[in-house]
Amino acid sequence: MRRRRLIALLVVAGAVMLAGCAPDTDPAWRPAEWPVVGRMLTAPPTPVDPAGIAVASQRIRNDSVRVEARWAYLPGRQPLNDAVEAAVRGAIDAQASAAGVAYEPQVFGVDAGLRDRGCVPGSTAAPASELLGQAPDSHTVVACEIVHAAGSTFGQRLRIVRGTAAAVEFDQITTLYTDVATGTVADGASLIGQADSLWEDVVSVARRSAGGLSLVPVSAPSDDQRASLGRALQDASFLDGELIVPLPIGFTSPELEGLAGWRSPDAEHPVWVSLPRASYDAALTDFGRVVADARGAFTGPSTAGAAFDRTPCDLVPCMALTLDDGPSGLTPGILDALRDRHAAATFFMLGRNAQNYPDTVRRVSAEGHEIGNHTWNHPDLTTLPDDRIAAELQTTADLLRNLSGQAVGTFRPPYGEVNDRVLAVAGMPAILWSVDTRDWAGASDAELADVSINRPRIGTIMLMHDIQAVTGRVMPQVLDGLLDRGFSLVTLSQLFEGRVPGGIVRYAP
Amino acid sequence: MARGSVQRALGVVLLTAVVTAMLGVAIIALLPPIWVAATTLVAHTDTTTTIRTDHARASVPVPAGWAMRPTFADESRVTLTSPDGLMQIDLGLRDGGQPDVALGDIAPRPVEALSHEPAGDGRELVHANSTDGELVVGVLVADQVLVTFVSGPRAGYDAELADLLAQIEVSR
Repeated sequence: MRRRRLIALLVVAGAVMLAGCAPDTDPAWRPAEWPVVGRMLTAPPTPVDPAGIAVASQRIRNDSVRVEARWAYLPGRQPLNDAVEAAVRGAIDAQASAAGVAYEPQVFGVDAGLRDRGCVPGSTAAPASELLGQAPDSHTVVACEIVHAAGSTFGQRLRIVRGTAAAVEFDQITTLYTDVATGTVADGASLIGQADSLWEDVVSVARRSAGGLSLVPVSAPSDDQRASLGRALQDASFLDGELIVPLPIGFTSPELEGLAGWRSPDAEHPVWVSLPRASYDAALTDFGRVVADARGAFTGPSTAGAAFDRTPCDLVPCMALTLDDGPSGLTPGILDALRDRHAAATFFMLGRNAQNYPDTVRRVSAEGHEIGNHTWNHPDLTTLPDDRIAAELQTTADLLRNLSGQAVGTFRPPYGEVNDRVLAVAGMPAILWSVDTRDWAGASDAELADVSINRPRIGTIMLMHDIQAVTGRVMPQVLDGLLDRGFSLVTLSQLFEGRVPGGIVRYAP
Repeated sequence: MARGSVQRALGVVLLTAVVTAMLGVAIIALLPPIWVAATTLVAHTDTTTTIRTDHARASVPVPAGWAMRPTFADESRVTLTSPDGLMQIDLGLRDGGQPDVALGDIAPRPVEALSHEPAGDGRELVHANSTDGELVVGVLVADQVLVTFVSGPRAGYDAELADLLAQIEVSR
């Protein structure tokens, strides 16, 4: 009996010990990873927030040529601006040819709502039909988006679509990058030097995401596939060290076609591939590496204030707002309104007032506005002898030049009174006006705003006075109205592309 | 006296029943791990194991640290377990047949649509994910021989599975 119990006990003990002999596990062991670790995205990368990035936002609408365009310039004379403008002009020229109409800037009524300008985050990823809207005739839309702003590097994407919502005739994306530290400009495709290696990684990521298990190497791309990827790289973005490439519509490869999890992207189901730096690093060009390495806030040029160096008045509808008789205590408020709307003006200052507001004169200049000579005491120059005319203008010019640093190369004769003798003594253009708002004549705010907003045409030189309280009050409303009509408010020099004609000038041609 | 005998007999019966029940529980609880422990081999270096049928054989890699457990009285099947004990791959060999039919036979759960991929050297991979996303069920077709596999978990271990499948060598 005791022996049986002992045997039973040994059996149980043996079983327990054997059961405890299961293979040990190694929690530190890690399974293999795919050679290329990337991600498939079904939503576009988070757009760059343009807030805080100083750009000169542009927008045009032209119903004759049937084109709408948005784009942005960087402040200052940046080579990127040339490239962006060339792309926009190319799109307009193509549309003008298709429409058989020569392009000239247009303005509209206040209800056009063109004050909302510049690049819209996410707009270049929208379906082409959405961008083209409901207009029945073939037309062109240029959308823009700031896709990169880090360190000294900046990228702007332009999407050009032509056709109608029902029939898209043309759809092209160009992304232009710049390094403002060197002035280098290149398009998105130029950031990657070896598209074939990128092709392999893009297909690999797509294959793994679709559940592929085969380790058969990705086949080299055909010429068409290579070109297709090159176009897609125009739309690529660098984000937190990853390169995000949109897969072209219809993208596929032999490695993907049999996978149940693979769906070739189409217009309704776009797909992006995100590649880690290790994947695309070797494929980067030198400039691509500069862009990819850029980190931190954009260190590009900050805004000069209200006005920017570049406003092409053959492309956008321009007019010049001029303000006489100041500066005064009202001028800073008017400057604020101009600054907040990136609008420029020309201030014809009286010497006697400028000496009382030297800081205002400096601010006017620092924020990019133009300063002109309005004499020292506001006399009718035609009634003065030559030496008095010269003294009125010279004394004022000396003061304004000293305070502003500007050349002060134009004058406005008080009351608009000018003759050949005054012109000869002055030796510079006499700037008159084509729209007189008569803001000194007791008009109500509404009347003044109505005249100031609705009377200007393209090339108008409009007269107001920054010593009139009513002008100070309506200025924000006037500026908004003019911008809504499509105008770009520029300085006199910009209105004439830097070459103000001699003699008496009332408007730009 | 008779009353005392009955009580003693009842006690023996009760004790026997309790001991039997305890043994039953012990057997049920211990047998599976006993079987696993008794039949599982852990590779100390990279090695291979062979599964075979009457007309074909497949050399299956067993990397160092992996555990390998053949199926009792069935040379055509083997189970591999990863060193962390989390990934298990059940492999089987068939002389021929339709891959999708074989896949349907071995799938322990409903599966999604089938994927077909070239696997190099004229081989083809037919596989599908289980609808719950936990498993990969598939067939490696080589020279009309089918190597079936059920592997899980899928997430995080698919590259390991791909690596292992690529190293399987099949011959007739």
